Amino acid sequence: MPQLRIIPRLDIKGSFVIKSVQLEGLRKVGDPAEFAKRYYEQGADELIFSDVVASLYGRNSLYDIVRQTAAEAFVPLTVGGGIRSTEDVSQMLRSGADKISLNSAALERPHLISELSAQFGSQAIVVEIQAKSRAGVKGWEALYDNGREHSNKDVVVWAQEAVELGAGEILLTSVDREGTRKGFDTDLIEVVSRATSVPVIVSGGLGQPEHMQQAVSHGADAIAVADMLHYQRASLPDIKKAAQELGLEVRT
Amino acid sequence: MKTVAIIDYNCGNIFSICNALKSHDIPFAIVETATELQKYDRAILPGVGAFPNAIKLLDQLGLLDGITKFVASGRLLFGICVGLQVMMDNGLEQGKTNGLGLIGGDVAPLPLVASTGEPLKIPHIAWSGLEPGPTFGQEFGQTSPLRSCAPGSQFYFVHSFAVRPNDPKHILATAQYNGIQFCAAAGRDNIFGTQFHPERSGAVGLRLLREFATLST
Repeated sequence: MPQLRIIPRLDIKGSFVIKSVQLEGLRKVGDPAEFAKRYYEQGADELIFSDVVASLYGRNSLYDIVRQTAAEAFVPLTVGGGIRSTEDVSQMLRSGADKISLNSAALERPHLISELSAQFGSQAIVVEIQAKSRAGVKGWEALYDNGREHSNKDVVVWAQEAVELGAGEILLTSVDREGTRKGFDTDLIEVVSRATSVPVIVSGGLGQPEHMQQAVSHGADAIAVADMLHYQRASLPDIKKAAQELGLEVRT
Repeated sequence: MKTVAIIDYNCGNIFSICNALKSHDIPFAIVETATELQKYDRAILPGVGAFPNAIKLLDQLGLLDGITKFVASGRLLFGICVGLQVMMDNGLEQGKTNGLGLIGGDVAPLPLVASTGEPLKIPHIAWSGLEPGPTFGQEFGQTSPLRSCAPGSQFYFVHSFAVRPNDPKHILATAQYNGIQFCAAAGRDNIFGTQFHPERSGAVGLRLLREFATLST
């Protein structure tokens, strides 16, 4: 088993890191560049920035934050939220991002994935899937605009399509579990991981170290951590130590 | 410390390399032509994406010849990721394409199945520990920038292909992905390259870049 990557996820609104529960009820928790630098120094394997309102306004205020962070944190930086075009991607990469995560724009026009991966390489293109379980039926639906809009696309079908089009990685967010600390949606992780050939970063639900082990045994390659870190319930060294005690390999 | 030329041929993101060098006060210059390149005594060749595209972009800027000349004059070259891959004789991505031929060998896809028989997820995206190449005993060679690293030092990888030098002496370091061993750093004489990204590998990666800037020619 390769090492499990532990990736702090910073959801950003304006110039603040925010935290929500099931993608609702946003609370400001701090300054993005400051948080990112602290997490880098504590041993983050990568960082994820996600601008939660960018796709609503069609504008992206992340460039300055990315520029500042990239000058201080020397681990891969994935940035998403409101990215819709080749120019957006180009500008974000020139600001210091290593990977771009796409959601709304890719659902609206899936061929954007192949255009971007042809130009920038699939290693730079992450597709985020916000999965919500369907009421009364099996399966999950892909949501967008930070969980506000319904695509009517089945998550597994969409994941396969995204990978075929050139996505190099999937960021799989469980809307049901996001911010609940109740553990990852392991059924969701299992079906998406089995249906695709690329690494899967799982996001949403981490509350205890055992949850990491459950995610890995169902196919997760990397784990996104948000409120556990933002509210300082644990530090990255604490999380990595707990992971090692559970027999998971992590970078120390 | 010498000024490091960073070869910008529109093949990926050079900004993290610039940021990394800045953070260690390593002087650098971005060069886009063979003529500019010849002004410096050491250069970094970055690169992401597909092998044939990288070669095409180098060719369009006259850099295939430029880099060959640069290296032939004894100056130092450090390839990163696809920047290492293009140094080989040829690449096997999207058909067979000739490389710079600075290191004998080719660039082949990572296997799709692990030693356990389980499917391997590709690209390989992970931090992995480096071990010295087969001819190096317990330590990294003293003449490459890797001399600054302890065996087991972890670096960030994101790749679907890996180089296969013909001469085992040119394999400076290896790493593993689910039991599959591959070449993580290759080189000879004044040529060096890493499959991993030192500029995204935290403190140990920054140290490696600094080491390159201080090597004597």
